[in-house]
Amino acid sequence: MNASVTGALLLVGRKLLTALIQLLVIATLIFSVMYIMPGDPVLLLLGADSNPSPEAVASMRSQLGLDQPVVSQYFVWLWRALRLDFGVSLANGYPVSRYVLSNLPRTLELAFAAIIVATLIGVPLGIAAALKRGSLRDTILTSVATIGISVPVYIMGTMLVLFFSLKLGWLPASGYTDISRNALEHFRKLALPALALGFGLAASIARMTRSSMLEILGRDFVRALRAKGMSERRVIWQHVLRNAAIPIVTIIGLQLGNLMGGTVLVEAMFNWPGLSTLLVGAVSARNYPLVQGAMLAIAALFIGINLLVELLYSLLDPRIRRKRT
Amino acid sequence: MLEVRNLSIAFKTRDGLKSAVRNIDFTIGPGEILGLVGESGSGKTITSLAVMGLLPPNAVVTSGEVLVDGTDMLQLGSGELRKLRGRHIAMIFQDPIASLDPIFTCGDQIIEAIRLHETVGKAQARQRAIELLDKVKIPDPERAMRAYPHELSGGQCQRIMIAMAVACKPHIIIADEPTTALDVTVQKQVLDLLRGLNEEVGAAILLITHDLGVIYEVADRVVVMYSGDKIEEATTADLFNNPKSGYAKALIDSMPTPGGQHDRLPVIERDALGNVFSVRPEPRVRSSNVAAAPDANASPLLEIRDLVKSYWIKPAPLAMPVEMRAVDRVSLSIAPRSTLGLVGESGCGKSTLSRAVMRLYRPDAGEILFKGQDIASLSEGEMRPFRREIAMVFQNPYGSLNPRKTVAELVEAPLVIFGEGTATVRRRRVAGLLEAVGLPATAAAKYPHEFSGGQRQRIAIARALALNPSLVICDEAVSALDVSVQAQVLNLLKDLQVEFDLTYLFISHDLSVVEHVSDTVAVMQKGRIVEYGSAKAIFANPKEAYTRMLLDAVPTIGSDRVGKGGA
Repeated sequence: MNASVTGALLLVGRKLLTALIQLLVIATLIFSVMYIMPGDPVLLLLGADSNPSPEAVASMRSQLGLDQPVVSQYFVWLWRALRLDFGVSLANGYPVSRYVLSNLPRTLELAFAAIIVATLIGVPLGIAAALKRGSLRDTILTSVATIGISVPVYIMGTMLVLFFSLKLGWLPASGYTDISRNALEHFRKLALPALALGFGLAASIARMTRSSMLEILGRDFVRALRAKGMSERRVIWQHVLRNAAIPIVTIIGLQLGNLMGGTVLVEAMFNWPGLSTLLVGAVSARNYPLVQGAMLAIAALFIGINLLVELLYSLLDPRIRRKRT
Repeated sequence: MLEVRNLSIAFKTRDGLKSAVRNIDFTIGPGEILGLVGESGSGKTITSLAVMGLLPPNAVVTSGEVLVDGTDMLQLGSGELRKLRGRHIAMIFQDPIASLDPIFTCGDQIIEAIRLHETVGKAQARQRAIELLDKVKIPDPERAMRAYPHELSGGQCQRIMIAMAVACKPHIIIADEPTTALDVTVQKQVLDLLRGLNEEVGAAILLITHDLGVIYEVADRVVVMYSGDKIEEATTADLFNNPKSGYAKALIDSMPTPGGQHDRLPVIERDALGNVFSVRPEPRVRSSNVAAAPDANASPLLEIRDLVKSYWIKPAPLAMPVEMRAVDRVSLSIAPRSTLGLVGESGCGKSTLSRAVMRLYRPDAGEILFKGQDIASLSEGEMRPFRREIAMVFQNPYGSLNPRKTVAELVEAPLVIFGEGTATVRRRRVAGLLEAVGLPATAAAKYPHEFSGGQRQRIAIARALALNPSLVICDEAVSALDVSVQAQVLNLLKDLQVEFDLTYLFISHDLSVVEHVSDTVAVMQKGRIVEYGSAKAIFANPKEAYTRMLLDAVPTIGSDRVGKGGA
């Protein structure tokens, strides 16, 4: 096996290991936060108003394993979590994993759709601005991008609904249809939430694309490529853009936190039954196992996409891929 | 073959057009090497870009013609121009690593260059690329094909640029400072290569450089430019034997040449009419303290004993780290008020050594005796009193001065850090320092960008002197400057040495500069000092093969020309 392949595998291995450690730390945090939170889940479960007998409380406690020492509770919980067993929902006794597994793909889909929308809008706009630096087009695009970054997700969402569904009637205002039932309807309902969520990211991407393109266009090698007799179009698309892509991918990674935060609002606004909807419902019902499961799933999603971004990053830049060879 | 007629170029500015190049004429015949020489800002590069049709958007050609085999490049559309570029005229740039796209392998970039102009298959282009790499004498062409630019040295990258340039057998090659960023020994190889290709391929070469030594060794004819005007055109031999213009004469004079035994370098002066001439200034006598000459018997100011600094690198991802000794058991000493010149090629450990003396990091082993006390293992706090004794002047005067501070603030900064004096006292001290380095008092309120490179280096020197240090480390302090400016700064350093009782550790890759300033010289190779002794002895009679090789590689005026015809 040659050195660069070993290097690449090592890099992937190291990043995976880091991701696992991050997950473990988060799992521990989630467990301890739930433990020190006020409110007794047993009383809640039995109905605090009905004045349950101490015996009933005690038997419920042992049934849930809450009478065990904290440390052993923690390891039991962790061991189960590893096998995707987050216990049962306190509301109806269904396994938490069922909720999580059904809602996780929906949030994942929303997040990816938002990233794709943002890239499709942001990158071309950034290129357009960079190629005519200082022109009216550049000024307009840059100002729109600045506004785009400053508009909160819920205002953007409201405006999109007002325009596209209420005024034009093109797209449904909210809801969710399973893709297996009606694929077209599914994507029609995905469009507005994805757009609302991706708009801020699109603005960041446009700005980063612009500045990163300008930086690359000023490099010596661009002049050298032109001197080779390469057409301007090929210089831009084949060389400048690929070099500029590295910081663009970085900005996507950095904005991921914002994006995941945004899903809470967007899912609520558009009635999108994702992880955040699940989490919000579980928190207000003090459905602790469900909260834990949903939080862990969101964290795993975040870490997973981040891992993907980082791997993409080293794929784009040979200097990172082969740093030590 | 290439004929530039009456070419004038101007920059668009807010106040209208600002002329950059005026009425330049020159021609290059087949197989000829024409040198275009001048200081920075003289319009050499902009002229070459105009020839390529690659002027930046803010520059316009106001008049003239650029005829390539009879076609006026300036009249061509972008499509036709593109066909000529790379195929008819190729260009080699100053910074080879930056001139290659970092995310493609070198092989892909050469293949791309071939396939831009010729309809050949990928495999065939690849074969051609390997042959080209072989022709430019790259060791292991297969490996170089797979390598990314950052994995190769500057010299290898320049060979790849040259391979790319000759890929389509162009008639004209423009080489813009092709060896400025390279070590002397590598420079020699690259120049030999260019000359060989010139003979073999028969391409005409326009060689742009500020280095008269390079011109002397390589060019057949020379065009001298000065602030946008052509000053002189002559065959190389005529120019150096009998320069007609005052400027060319002054430029040749101000080069420190090996063997030149002068205390001061001539500098270029300009009179009110704009005439340029060369003067050899007298040493400045400003204060009464006539310092004693360096006394070889006095106890050394700085003594380094068996200094070691290693880096640990992994040769492969899974391999054990191996020790790379950047500084390997180095021992040196510098007498007070003398200058030690430290020479060596890039990567030899010069800068690591100087940073160890600055105690920017802790050396792994060995002693650094400063005024008799070992500072090698002092803590940050214990080091503080020594910090004011050792100052440093860096290579790049553009990067080493904070652009948002005024000159007064910059020069005052060390005084403020050490809580020296009141504001009034400090201001007076700054004024004194600026005067000492030859800057006007009005400079204090200005910002670094308002000064030229040489003036900025003067600011950096003033700042280094603020705390009255006894040792000043000059790390390639004149390398980024033009020859005439370099001469001024070297003269200044000599004046200041007498005036402020300074001891210099002068690090440079330029042997002629080192010979000019140094009392003792140390030659460094791969972390070790290979030769160490008095400057006179080393330059007159180098003992080590490596020193001789370095000396031989320096392009010098008056040496035997290797080029066609000879001088």
